[in-house]
Amino acid sequence: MLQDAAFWILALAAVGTGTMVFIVDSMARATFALLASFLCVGTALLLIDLHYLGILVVLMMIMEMLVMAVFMLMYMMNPAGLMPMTMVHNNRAALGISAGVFALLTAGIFTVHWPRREGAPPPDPTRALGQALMGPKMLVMMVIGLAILATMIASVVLATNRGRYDLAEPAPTPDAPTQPAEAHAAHDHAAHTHTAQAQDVQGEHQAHVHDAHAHDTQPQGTHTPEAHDHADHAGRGHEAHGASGQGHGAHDHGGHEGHGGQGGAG
Amino acid sequence: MSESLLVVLPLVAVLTIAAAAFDAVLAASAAGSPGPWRAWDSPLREAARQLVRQRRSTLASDRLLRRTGVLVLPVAAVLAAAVLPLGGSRAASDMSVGIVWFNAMEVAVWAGVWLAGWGVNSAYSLVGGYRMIAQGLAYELPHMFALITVGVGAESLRFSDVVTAQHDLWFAVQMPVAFLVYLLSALAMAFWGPLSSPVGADLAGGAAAELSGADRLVFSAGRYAMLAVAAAAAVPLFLGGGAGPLLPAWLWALLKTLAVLAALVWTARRLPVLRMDRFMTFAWTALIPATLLQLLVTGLIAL
Repeated sequence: MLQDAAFWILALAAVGTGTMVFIVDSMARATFALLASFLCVGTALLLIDLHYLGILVVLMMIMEMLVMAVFMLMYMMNPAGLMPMTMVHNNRAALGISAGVFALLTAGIFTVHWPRREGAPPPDPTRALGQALMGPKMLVMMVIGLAILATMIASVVLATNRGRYDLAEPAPTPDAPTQPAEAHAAHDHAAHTHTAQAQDVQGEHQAHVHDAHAHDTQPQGTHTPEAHDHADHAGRGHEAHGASGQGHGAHDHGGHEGHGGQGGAG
Repeated sequence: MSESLLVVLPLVAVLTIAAAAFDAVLAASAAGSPGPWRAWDSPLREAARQLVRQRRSTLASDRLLRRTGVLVLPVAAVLAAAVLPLGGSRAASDMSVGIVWFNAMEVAVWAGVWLAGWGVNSAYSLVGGYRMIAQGLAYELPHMFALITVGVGAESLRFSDVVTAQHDLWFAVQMPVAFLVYLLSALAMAFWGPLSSPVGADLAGGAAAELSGADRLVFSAGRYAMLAVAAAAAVPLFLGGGAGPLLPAWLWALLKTLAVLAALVWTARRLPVLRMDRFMTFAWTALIPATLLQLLVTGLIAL
């Protein structure tokens, strides 16, 4: 009697909170409404003495919904789910599909031949569940499980880059080919209007060339207008003199005058 | 169900106050004030102050989620304590999968901190909430393996069976790696000491930054309660429960709990706060293999 009441309360709460997922206007509320629904289902499993499964549902669903909160931050157009938003899209088709699925499942429930209960529940349902799932293949299943886990962890560790303050070596330089010294020597440095030392100018110039190489390979990035001018300039230079990187000395470097201050930042 | 049901709530409350009082004494001692022991009642004064204080509110905060998150902390702590055997007597609910239940309740704390951090609609709190999830993902796998090692060693997930299995040798001795990992996880589940970056000072208080009045009181009390319950769980899991000479079992269990709790509280004054990405790398590349090896060794012993 008490169990029946508990079951119906949990069932109604599960459906109710499940419906709330589509009614609320915030990602966070939707996430936790879904979690509440799952918690009701997990508790309902406790009513039929499947303690392990029920608590596992509670444990896993809490973790899954929190991982969903992480994804909310990463992938939503709505940063961190902080803005109100609607939880339903494509209403007409969605309504049709869900009505169809509901009719199908309901028809299944009423037409299927439900088996009668045979025997009594085992004294330790957790052990019986493990035997039913794995049986004599227990060792194989455990080894495979471990291998899958190791693969997951290894792939995550390999895929993760450290933060920007954590680089083991200093910031990597672009891998554009460095210019031969004689090409630098042939530059018409007089065209630059810097008062800086010659070495500084050379360094800046090199930065410009690297920058141009980078721009060459990605012409449609989102650059500032100055950067585009610069890329165009460098591109023309390469067309005229081939890709060997030699002969830059013949460039008209007048175009660099305006960039003097930004060379280091490139 | 047993008579322990009545004891659990006051016991958690007493341990919570003990943890807060010890922390206040340590703080007074570190500040160099004369007679640091006299600071023991400052958490109670602070609690009274927060109770009569008006709540500060933030713009467009999600009140339902914020209150839910704050409430989850103490509730999860008490529910987790319900499966712990209290020395000689039975737990309030000595269920057959008590270890899994304990694990589920402790994961609920992540949800509580995230909800409290998200609900107030403030940037620092939000970052603090997300730090808690990052921390959870870092510590949870080694922690689960440590708990599984205990389950394998005892060949049961029931806390009372775990205590019985340590009749000859405490699990802290038999599986030291699992014990150390568990202590680290205990800090992480209460976001305490070296793992307190979800409420870190660098975030002006992180997830708790905007909480005030009764909200802040319940949040901090829940945090101390979680720390106390994590310490209390270490006793049946690794320290032989109420086993010990001369004194009655309940007293031994209490003494061990207080010792672990004191050590956990003390770390906050002695160890620096870990940065979450570094802890993640350490947890996944060092702790997971270490706990897996520990599991292997324990499995071979159990065979």
